[in-house]
Amino acid sequence: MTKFFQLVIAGIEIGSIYALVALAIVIIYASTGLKNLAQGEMAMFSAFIAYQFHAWGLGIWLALILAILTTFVLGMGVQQVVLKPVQDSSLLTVVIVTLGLFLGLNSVAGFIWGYMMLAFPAIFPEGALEIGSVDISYAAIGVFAVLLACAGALFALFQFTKIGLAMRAVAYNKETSMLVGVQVNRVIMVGFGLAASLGAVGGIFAAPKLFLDPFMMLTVLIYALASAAFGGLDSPLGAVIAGLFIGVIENLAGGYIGFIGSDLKIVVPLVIILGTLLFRPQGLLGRKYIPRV
Amino acid sequence: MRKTTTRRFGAAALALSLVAAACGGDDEADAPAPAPAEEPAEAPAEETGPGGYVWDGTTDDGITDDTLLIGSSGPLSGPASAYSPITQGVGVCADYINGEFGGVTMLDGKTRQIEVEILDDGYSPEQTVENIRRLHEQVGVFATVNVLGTPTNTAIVDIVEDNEVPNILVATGATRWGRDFASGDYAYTMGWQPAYQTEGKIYAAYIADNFPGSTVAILQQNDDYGDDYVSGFEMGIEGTDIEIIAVETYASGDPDVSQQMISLADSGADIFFNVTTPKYAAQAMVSIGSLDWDPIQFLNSVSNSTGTVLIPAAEGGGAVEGVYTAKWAADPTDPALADDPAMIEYRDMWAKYSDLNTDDAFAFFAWNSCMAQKEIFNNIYPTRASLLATVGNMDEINIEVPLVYAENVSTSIGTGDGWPLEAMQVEQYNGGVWEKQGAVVDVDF
Repeated sequence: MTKFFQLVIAGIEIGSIYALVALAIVIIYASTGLKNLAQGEMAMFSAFIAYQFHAWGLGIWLALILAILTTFVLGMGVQQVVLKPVQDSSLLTVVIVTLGLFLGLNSVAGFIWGYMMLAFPAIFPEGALEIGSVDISYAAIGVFAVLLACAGALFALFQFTKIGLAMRAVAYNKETSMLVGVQVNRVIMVGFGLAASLGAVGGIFAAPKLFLDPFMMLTVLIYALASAAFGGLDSPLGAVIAGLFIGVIENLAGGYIGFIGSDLKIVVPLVIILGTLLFRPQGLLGRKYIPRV
Repeated sequence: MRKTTTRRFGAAALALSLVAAACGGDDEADAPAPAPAEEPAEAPAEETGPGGYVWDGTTDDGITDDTLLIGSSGPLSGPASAYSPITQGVGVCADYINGEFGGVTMLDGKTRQIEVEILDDGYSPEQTVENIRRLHEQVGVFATVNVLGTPTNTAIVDIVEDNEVPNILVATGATRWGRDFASGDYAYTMGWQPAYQTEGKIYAAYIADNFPGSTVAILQQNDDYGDDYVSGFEMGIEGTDIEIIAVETYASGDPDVSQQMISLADSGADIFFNVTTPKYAAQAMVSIGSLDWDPIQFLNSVSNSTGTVLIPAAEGGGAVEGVYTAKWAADPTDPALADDPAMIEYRDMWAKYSDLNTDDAFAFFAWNSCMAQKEIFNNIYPTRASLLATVGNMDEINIEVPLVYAENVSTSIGTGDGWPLEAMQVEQYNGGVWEKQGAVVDVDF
């Protein structure tokens, strides 16, 4: 039984990371209809920024807050410079541009910080809470708490602030929002910054566990995309639930199902994506899109 | 294959070649039969090199009377560029040999300056294929040296065979290089560092001697590299009371290995054998630090770098104290070797001819390989067949590579053995340094 609980806890820990990146994907998708394939690499880049601030002598919490703020600005910049010009082009064009961003960020990070892995300083105290024979590391508790805090803050932002309302309006209907005076482009820009910051939280909190290198978020992105698709591409709550679910399921499958073992773990998210698209294309909690004639 | 042939005609040559054919004995059967009309007039009757090679006076592509052109391909950029000192080292080695010795003096008595063409493949096998074709067909190299990586060398092994251009001292520990060279299946590609299988055997022998009756849990990458280590380990424990009770695998690219480590911890094995690349090695040690499992750890040499693995793992809360590994060469950062003449020579020469960091294990790798290259090229006639005969019989020439643990860099095809280096030293990580445990183990396949 120890193994079971230990696997569930490890699943929640890694699942929280998937959920944070999935949240970022969902926010951008909801407001622009764009699936940002570079979301994982942007998160990796932010983790390097936090690492750099820390290396310059700042405390780890200060370093990570500064990195998240920097990422907010960078995210808005990326949207303005790279994505805005192609915003209304075909889906393929936009996907290729985010793919280019993906490769570009990866190479730039490698150029600046090298490809050797780096130890990211621990954010939470070492050690674990012992319940019976199960160890729950403080890092796992911490990451899960951060995920809940981010999801809560996001909910509050959408429900109780003017910018949140504007973002929801743009997501719902861009043209109508424009007509009633919402500055759509500015809202999208802020949405991008917000998403980049959420991804940054995911990258930074993943870094102590995964070790920092330019490839850190490569497969995390696949799990995050699966979470976003499974939860519903326009549902933040769905992304959180799906991320945690996928983290736990892939660990249990790897740990207990003989033929999946650890070799086929990566197949788990792919099966989930396929199953979702086949049987419930709008995802667990997503809105069903019904075109009106 | 094109040959630059020195053609000399004459009755004297014909007579001499007949004498050579008569005196060559059994050895000659292995060497290409010289065409009588191509014997140079001044060639003495018995120009034989290591491995019973008989020189017919010809000179192969890539060699002139005063130059030797060699090539290499490796990751000068990209994700594996940490290895680039090995690739750059081929050029540094040439500068060192040209600068200190005026070049290599081959068995035909001519001294040749080494020229090097190095191409970047970014550790991408498709690029390596392009590079090797260019080196063979456009640049016209005599041989390639230290081509880096298992997937990259695997991608070119057939081209090397078809073009009959030797690819020696490849910088990868896959077991096949020695095996296929010895068996003749791939007679143009030869290894250098100890095979991963050899290393697996060495750990098995050490565990059987020092921790009898123990159980073992293994984490391995799910590819040839992981399988080589594990199969060597399995061979080594055959007939002993050591038992493997759990094996978990991961794919290169997985985010982390915590699930695998939880399953291995659940086995409660006495020993953990860590067959992973640097990032996963560090993650595994961090997992052990946080789980209720305290095994004796054996870490494969692929990931035993103090600076890039052990220190980051320790910073991340990993259990690194007391970890065992095996090394086949001295450690340039070992304080005990600071005054060692061979180590001083290495630092001086590499500082003189390059800007490589001499503490870097890969720069040091290049130096050891350079020592071997120098002796190999000094002991060949200017033909590829001679090069292959020499590298296949290195026990016949005196190769001194003072900083590797092998007493004798040797290989002998006759005994089915194509591995130049097979000796390793087991070491244990204590208080930030690797400490030698017991004597150097020489595993003979």
